[in-house]
Amino acid sequence: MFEPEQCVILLDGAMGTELQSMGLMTERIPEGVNRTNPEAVIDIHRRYIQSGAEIIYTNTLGVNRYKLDGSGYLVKDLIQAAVQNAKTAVALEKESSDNENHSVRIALDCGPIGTMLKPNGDLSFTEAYEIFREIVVYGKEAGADLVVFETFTDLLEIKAAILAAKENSDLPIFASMSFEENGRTFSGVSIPSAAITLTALGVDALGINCSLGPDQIFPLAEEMTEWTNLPILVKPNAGMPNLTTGKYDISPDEFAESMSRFPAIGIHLIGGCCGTTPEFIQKTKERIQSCHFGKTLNQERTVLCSSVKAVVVDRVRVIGERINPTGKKRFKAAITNHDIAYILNQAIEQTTAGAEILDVNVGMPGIDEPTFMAEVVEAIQSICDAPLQIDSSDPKAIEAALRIYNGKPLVNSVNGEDKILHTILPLVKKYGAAVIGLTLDENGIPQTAEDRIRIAEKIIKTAASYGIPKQDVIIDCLTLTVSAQQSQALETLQAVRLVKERLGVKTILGVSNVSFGLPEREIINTTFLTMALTNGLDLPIMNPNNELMVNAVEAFNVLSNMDVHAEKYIAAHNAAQTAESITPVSNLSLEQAVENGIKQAAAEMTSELLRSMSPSQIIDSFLIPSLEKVGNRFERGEIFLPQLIQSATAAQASFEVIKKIFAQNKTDQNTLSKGKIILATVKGDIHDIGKNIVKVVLENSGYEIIDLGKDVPDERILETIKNENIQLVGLSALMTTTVKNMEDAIQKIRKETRCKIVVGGAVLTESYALSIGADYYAKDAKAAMDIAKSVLG
Amino acid sequence: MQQIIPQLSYIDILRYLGYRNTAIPKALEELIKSCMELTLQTIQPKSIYHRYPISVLSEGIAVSGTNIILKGKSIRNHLLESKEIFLLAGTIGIEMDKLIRTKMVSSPDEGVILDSCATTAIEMLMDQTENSIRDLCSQNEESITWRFSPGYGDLPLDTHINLLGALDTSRKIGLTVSRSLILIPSKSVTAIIGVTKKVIKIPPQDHCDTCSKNSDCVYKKAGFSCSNQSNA
Repeated sequence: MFEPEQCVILLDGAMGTELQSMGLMTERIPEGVNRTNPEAVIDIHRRYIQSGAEIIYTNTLGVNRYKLDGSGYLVKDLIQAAVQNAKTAVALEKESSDNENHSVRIALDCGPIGTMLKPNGDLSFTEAYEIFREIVVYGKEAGADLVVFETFTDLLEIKAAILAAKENSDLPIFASMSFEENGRTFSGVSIPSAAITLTALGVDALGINCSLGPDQIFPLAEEMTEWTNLPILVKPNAGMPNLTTGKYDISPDEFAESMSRFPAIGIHLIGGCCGTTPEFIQKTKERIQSCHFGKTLNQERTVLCSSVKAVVVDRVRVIGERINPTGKKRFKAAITNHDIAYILNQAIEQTTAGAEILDVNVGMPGIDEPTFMAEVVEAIQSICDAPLQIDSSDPKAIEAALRIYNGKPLVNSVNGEDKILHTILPLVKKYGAAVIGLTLDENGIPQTAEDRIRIAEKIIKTAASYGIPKQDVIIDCLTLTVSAQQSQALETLQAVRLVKERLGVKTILGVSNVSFGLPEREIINTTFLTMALTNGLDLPIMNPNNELMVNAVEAFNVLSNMDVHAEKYIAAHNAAQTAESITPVSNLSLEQAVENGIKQAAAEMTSELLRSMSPSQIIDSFLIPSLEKVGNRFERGEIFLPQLIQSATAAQASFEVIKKIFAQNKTDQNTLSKGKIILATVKGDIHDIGKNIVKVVLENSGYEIIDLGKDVPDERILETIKNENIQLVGLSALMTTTVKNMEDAIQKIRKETRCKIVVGGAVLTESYALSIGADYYAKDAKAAMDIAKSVLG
Repeated sequence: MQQIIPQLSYIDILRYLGYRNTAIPKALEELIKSCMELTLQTIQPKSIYHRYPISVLSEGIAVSGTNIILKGKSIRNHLLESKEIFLLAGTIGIEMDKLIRTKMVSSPDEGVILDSCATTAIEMLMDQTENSIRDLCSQNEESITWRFSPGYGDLPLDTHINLLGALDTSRKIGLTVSRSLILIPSKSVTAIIGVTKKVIKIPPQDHCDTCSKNSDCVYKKAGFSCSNQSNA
């Protein structure tokens, strides 16, 4: 519907500003005016059309189920009325216009819901999707020509909106976000991440609106042009608002002058946001008629992103392999015990060690992989900026993760099998991901590099048939185990080189497999890695905690002239030298290490003690008594909160050593435990720091903690109490509003179980806690320790 | 709207951490200092305020030009001397929430320190904002009351909703409220300040009178007051 290469398309200006100047912005739901005073809305639309707008936005920015709740208005009615008003305006203008070619299109305008999605808020992706679905369906029924999502600050929320539009209509989609001067939205979304993700999701135009004036938006728009080849829209405010008067600070002429700079950098769609009026649009139209229009197409780059960070595969980028249960007993135990915190720590550890992308695989027999995969991806992206690689053989798990992924991920993987290609590639395209193609098919792994290239070609071709460009296909030539098939290592390396040379795509390899079955594996791994890099490997999947391998990558970047002036290498290795020189030699006992909160010493001493003592001896004679002592000192005010936590985390380091040994010996970790405790922040509440403090202290006092997280539905708590036969549950709530939910939860637990209940939270007091039916009130983590001891021993 | 907080108050951070004049190990002191630095690098302090005439109705105090009715005795007492008020809101941004969330997983000791740094930062931001309002008023020889937030006394928490709407905070400073009336980002404050003709001196314990924790306040027991005006 657009031919923006040839021209600039003019959008309209602000609706609210006009309504305000007519004294029509007093209602709680300003869009109510679509029904109470349609003439006013029609008049504004007409004036924008007269001023030259070719696309007008319906007066529906804030119309959604959440905002209309309790207002007496219905989404359907307001959208129908608003679209009708726009249609009437277009029809009336057509009648009175001399120019028969003057066609004006109607965009269904849709803003953010008005409350935040998880993890920052409590709205789920599915709830957000439903809210947008309703809007799109009614907008389409009413006859809108396209849908505009604008003023968004959360990339995941606009993704929910885009999916709702794509799955429920065939309307063209414009997607626009609001950025601050630092080039980030309020949720931290960067320009590259927005552009990459929205482009990959297949919108028709993307852009920037509101928040800033044209001069502040200009550099941001310019940056955006570097990350997309789609048409870009820009709708700035009329400058910046005056703090005292709230008025915007530039005139229609100044606005037009500033806007005239945009066509030259390739901006196709131009209009105004807050503070702009038909006069602004008219002046802009006059001013841009004589503008030179420029646009340079970007090079096709391979790039992945989270909502805040883009990773361009323009040099070697390490993919962390640790979030994967294969061959990792401790990780398997974490999955079985639903220990999300362990998985999150793996994520943080790897990115700290230099991984720029993280592979996420939680496949294990007996778990509901789609649900768990989505939960883990959601949790990782709430704390980690690195783009993720969704790794599963279950298409349902892949789709579950792709749907809620906030950015552009990499899917691991497809191969040359038709069935897999035609199942996974449509998902990759729909959700805007990149994909790894393994060079194997129904007949297994080909023995020669040539045959592997043939499969790579097939994958790239099939991907293209689904509209997935070549740069979004990354080929894995497959690492074989050198102890079993020695000649294959060179074949793999040759395939890597030829795939790059002939097909011009990026390459990926899981490196560590090569050494399976050999002693001192890292020697082989590091050498193979270096050889692969030399042959053109872009993305090694490896353990970033392995210093030798990371060193090999860093050295390669220096020697291949990628790390200019060896800056990164020098920074990393100078820092390493300093770190070594200040690490003290530990000569503390385990008790001292815990009491003084020194993690490394606690872990070292535990390994030492395990030679002569059983884990339960260590726990009962050292860890628990030390932590109790620390707890008592905390209670007496001799130490304060950070010290209590440091002691608990030192004990945690010790427990971690013990758990590893248990996992290796396949001993049930539950034998370590003095009892299971559920911790949950109640429904509606998302402040969970208090609960997390209690968790750290209790789980290192010998209890097994089932942490259900925050905003937990009562049913989930109840179900877990029953399934796990729980004797003690801890609930937290911060606000008076959510204490009510706590009371409801307590009543439900009481009705069906005999489980004891301890509560805590900022507004609670002992008497308040007892009055809502709790058995105990814990004013702090030490009190929780004492209560756990009295209930569970 | 964008504000600058040049330095955080070390003593306030300690207070929020429950510190009671014991020796702080050097390593911990350094950790706190580095958390303060990290906080200053991470926060995006933003605040907004606007002045409105008010009128007393039977159901509460109506804020002109908005759909806000301030209900309850406490706010009525607070605004006894005022014919106009300021609504104000501030936040230090969502990045800080993410940082605290991350650190609570990887190093909870830093997590709790950062949480206290963030609480200190939002208090300082609101103090700065209050000072701007005070300066503005003093030019007209007016004075102001202390800032009164939804949830104090019997002023309902759901006052947040219309207050945020009136100030258009979701667009202007990125501040929203959840369905359970929790402000998001979590280190955020909304408040009401009365404009008065004469200087109002409110003794500090008045803050405590409106607090639900007054009877068993840990700060009070330790001989402090929290002066915590946020839901943080």
